[in-house]
Amino acid sequence: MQITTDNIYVLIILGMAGTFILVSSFILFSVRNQNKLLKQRQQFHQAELTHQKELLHAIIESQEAERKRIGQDLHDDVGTTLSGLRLLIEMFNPATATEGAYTSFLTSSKSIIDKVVKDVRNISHNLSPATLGYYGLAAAVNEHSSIINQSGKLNVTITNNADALLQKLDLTVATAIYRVIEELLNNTIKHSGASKANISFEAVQNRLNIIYNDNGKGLPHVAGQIKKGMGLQNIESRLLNINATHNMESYSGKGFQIEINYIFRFILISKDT
Amino acid sequence: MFISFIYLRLINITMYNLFVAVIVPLSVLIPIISAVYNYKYLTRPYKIILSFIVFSSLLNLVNLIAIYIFRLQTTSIFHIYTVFEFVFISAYFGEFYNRQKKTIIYVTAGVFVLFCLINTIFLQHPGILNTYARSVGAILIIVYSMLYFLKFGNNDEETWTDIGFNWICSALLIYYASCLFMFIFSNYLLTASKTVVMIVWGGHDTILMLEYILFAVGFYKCRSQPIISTY
Repeated sequence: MQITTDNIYVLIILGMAGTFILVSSFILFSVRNQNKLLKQRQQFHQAELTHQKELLHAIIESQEAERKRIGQDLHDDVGTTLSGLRLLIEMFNPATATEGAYTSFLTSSKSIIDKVVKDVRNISHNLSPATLGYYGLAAAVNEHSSIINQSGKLNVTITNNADALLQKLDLTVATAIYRVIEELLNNTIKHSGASKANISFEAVQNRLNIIYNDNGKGLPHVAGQIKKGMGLQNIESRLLNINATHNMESYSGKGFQIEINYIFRFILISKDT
Repeated sequence: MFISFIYLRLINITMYNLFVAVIVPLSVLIPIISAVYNYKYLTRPYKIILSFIVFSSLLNLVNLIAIYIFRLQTTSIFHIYTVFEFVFISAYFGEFYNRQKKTIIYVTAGVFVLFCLINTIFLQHPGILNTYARSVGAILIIVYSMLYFLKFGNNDEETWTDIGFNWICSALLIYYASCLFMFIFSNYLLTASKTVVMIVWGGHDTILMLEYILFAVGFYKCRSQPIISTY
């Protein structure tokens, strides 16, 4: 048998070094593999989110288009037909009817038609606020608030320190914000029992900051978290659709506040420059 | 020339002693400080590893005092250390599995303790190093670590580096796999030349320090660690 002349100590050192390299490589490959898997998962998740957002966008867009169509049909067709009916009734003069009965019929018919015309106009306006398209978000919110103020159910005050920024809002974004404010006011009137609501628009560089608060009873909490109904979920969907962020606070019994932030994609250039 | 050679050799030995007897033993404080700093976040597996580190550092201190102060042979300490080391590490890995698999690990630890006793009494007396037991222990710890990576290596919920247990298992795997050859041939190394001993023990201590650093990172990453799943 041939006697080996290998130095055992050298072999030990080589063995230690080799195993160290092997194990370190294994761990590094393991790290790389896991990070790769995580990255793939994140990409998949992101793609799923984008797809969901696109679906949401399509739903909201089609909903708005449908609302607009129904609103216009109501305003143009039903409104016009009712106006025609009013004229007809006014012109109708039966020979056999007594003067008192005819006048009473005429008055009540006209008042009913006027009420229907007014209701149709309101519904049409709610479905598709024309002011929003013609005069912008601030005017539309002002108009909606004044209708609420006239009803006496709620006293809405508006502070607008972001007029320049509001004028530059895209119609889709303006519609989304308008719908959110509309929903918030609706919630306040229906559920909060509040007497006052404040809406403030602030411009912070290229960011539009909207603060809405009321002095109602706030939102119900479940296990320390705000319980969200359909209305609030709609608000969140609409804000998500325009990439706006929000922060909701409920001061248990002392009111409700939501802060909405919308960042403009472009940088605002001051008028002086 | 001759004087400078002696001077250089003295310096080398002093530097080596400083590294082996002071720097490396003191580096155990790195994971201990990290664990104490994050103590309120430590779950049971981390606490087992912390106990293991404290135990091994104390035994190492005893070993160093025996070697450098009393000039004693300390091979018998390794016979005791091997048993506790394996029990601690088995208890740590047992935390990752369900009751059935945990029982298997505990039974393995029990059998290993028995094997160590038989080894010390009949095969390798305390006067020499227990290379059989220590090598078997190291191989089993490598298997534990590999099984851990097999089970949790495909976690696509979190980044690898965010999981503290990954760092600790890597530390164990690197140390026991790299030093396996040294454990196997430890008794040969007792009779080796100073240069060989310096190279091998220097390498061992460097890997040990790396293990401590990885432990420290593991303890640092323990915050908001999800509790281990079992299957």
